[in-house]
Order: sequence, then structure tokens, then C-alpha cells
Amino acid sequence: MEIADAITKAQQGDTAAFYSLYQQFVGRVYAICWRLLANRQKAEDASQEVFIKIWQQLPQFRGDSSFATWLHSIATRTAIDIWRQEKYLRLTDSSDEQPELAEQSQSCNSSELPLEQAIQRLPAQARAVFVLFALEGYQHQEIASLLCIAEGTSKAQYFRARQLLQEWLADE
Amino acid sequence: MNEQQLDQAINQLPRQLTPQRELWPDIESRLTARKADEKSPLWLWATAAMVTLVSLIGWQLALLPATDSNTQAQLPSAEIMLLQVYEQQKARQLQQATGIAEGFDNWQQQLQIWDQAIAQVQLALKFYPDEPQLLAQLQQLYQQQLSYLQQATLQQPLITS
Repeated sequence: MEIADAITKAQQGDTAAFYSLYQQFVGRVYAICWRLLANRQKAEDASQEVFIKIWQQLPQFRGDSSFATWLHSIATRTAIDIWRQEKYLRLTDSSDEQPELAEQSQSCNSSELPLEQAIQRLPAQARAVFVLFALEGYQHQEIASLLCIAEGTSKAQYFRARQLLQEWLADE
Repeated sequence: MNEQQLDQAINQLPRQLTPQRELWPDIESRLTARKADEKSPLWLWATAAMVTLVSLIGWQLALLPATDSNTQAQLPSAEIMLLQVYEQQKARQLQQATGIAEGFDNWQQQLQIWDQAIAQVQLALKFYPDEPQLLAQLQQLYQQQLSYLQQATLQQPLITS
């Protein structure tokens, strides 16, 4: 089924059409969630949440942007909301966090890639900034707004992430 | 590993990953229940106003000591001044909002997360009144909450009555 056709039908409540959209985009959504949250279970739950939101907001989708862009935006915001919730419930200052091994870094199908594993080891804020900037194409100003941090902090965290990654990957 | 090698490795990362668990059955079960859970935007705004009002009253009851006139004559603490300033700004932002921006449909839940964090710092301030680091953390949380609220209540609403 064509994407445009599936969107129109899903907007009218056709769950089969929505399943077709799910199949086409679940990999992209899960990649965003997994890299930001560094935890398989949370990433899967977040991905489900993303598709529920998409279903709920689909009637308002007017096609001003591409569906992929719209979906990407919802996926990123949902994952960041969960990331923020984790952060504040622990009330940690991530700038002081030490790099730690992710709980379930073996949990995705590209985990054999050393970089993928190393990203999961980054401190939470540095990881979020790195994923958003290097992998998802956001600018530091946008990241600052999304994560509620200063633009300078975003740049500093990105620099820190790159340094850590280079250091870890050089050791391998 | 140098900069160039890192950039190459980044470019080689897959854009898509496959979840281990099949996610669709849970999603599908929630889709069918969606219509029953839908509420009108008016209901949402009424809830938002009520939550804000209750929070404001609750915080004031919790923070403003039940005191005699001598205590009331004292200058307000830095914490209470912060609370008043940010609550006023928050109320103003909510009042001026005409709708919820795309992607912020769970904004109330997000505000509650900040409220929880703020409540924890306020609890700590009870033990260490006017402690500069705690006050700075409180201010930071308030600012972040306001910043989020500003993003969530943009000018062109997608949820309208």
C-alpha cells in the first residue's frame, strides 16, 4: 500500500492501513528510541507510545510536512520526554555523571557495531545530544530547546561525547 | 580513532533497527480503545486550569508557614520569592495559550514530572533553608518548566475547540 493511501485510510480509522504504516516506519522509530534511551524494554515501550500518538494525531496531519518528518518529530519528542522523566526522577545532574555501561547494550541488531555499543555507554545527556546531532540531524539550537539546556551545553556535551567515543574505540 | 574515522563509523550506522519484541499486538489493542478515551479540548483546558489552581494552592499551603503576624512581617524567603515569580509566569503562559503545539499532547504529564522534581528540592530546602545550590537547582527546574510550557503552547494550535 502506498504511504499516501495508507495515511488517508488510517485517518479514517482503518487499522489495517495503519499497520502498513507501522511496518514501514517501526524500524526508524525504534532506532531513535533505542539510541536515546539505551534500554531495550524502554525503547520498545516508547516505540509503542509513539505509534499510539501517531494514531491519535493522524486526523490532524494535513501533509504540511512529509509524513516521515512528522513521525520522526513525534518519535524524537516522545523518546526525549521519557529520557527527561528518567533523568528528573533520579534527580541527577548528568553533567557529573560518569560513563557507565548500558543495561542492555546487546539488545539490538546492530549491537555488534563497536560504535553502537560505545554510544550506549555515554552519559545520558551526552548520549542524547550526540544522537540528536550526529545521527538525527538536529542543530544545537534545536537540541537545546528539546532538552531544555543551553546551546553552549549542547555543544560541550557533543564535544565530550565525541572525545569519549574516540577514546573508547581507540582502545578496541 | 581520529575524527575522520569516527565520522565514517557514524555514517555506517543503520538508520533502522528491529525491536526484539513484536510491538504491534499491544499497539493494536490500544487503538481500538482510543475513541472511548477521547476527550474534548475544552475538557483538557478545564483540567489544566484546575491542576494549576490546585498546585498553586497546595504549594502555598505547604510553603507558607501558618504563622503569626510577627513572622508574616519578615521578608519572604528566596524560595518563596522564586515560587511566586515563576508561578505568576506559569499562570500567565497558561492563560495566554490558545492551544497545544504538535507533539506536546502529554504536556500535563511532563509538567507533573517537573513538579515532582521541584517538590523534592523543596523538601530538601526544608532541611537546608536558603541553601544556594538547592535554590539554584530550584530556579533551574522552574526555568526548564517554563521553557517547556512555552514550547508546548505555541501560536498555531492543532488541538482546537
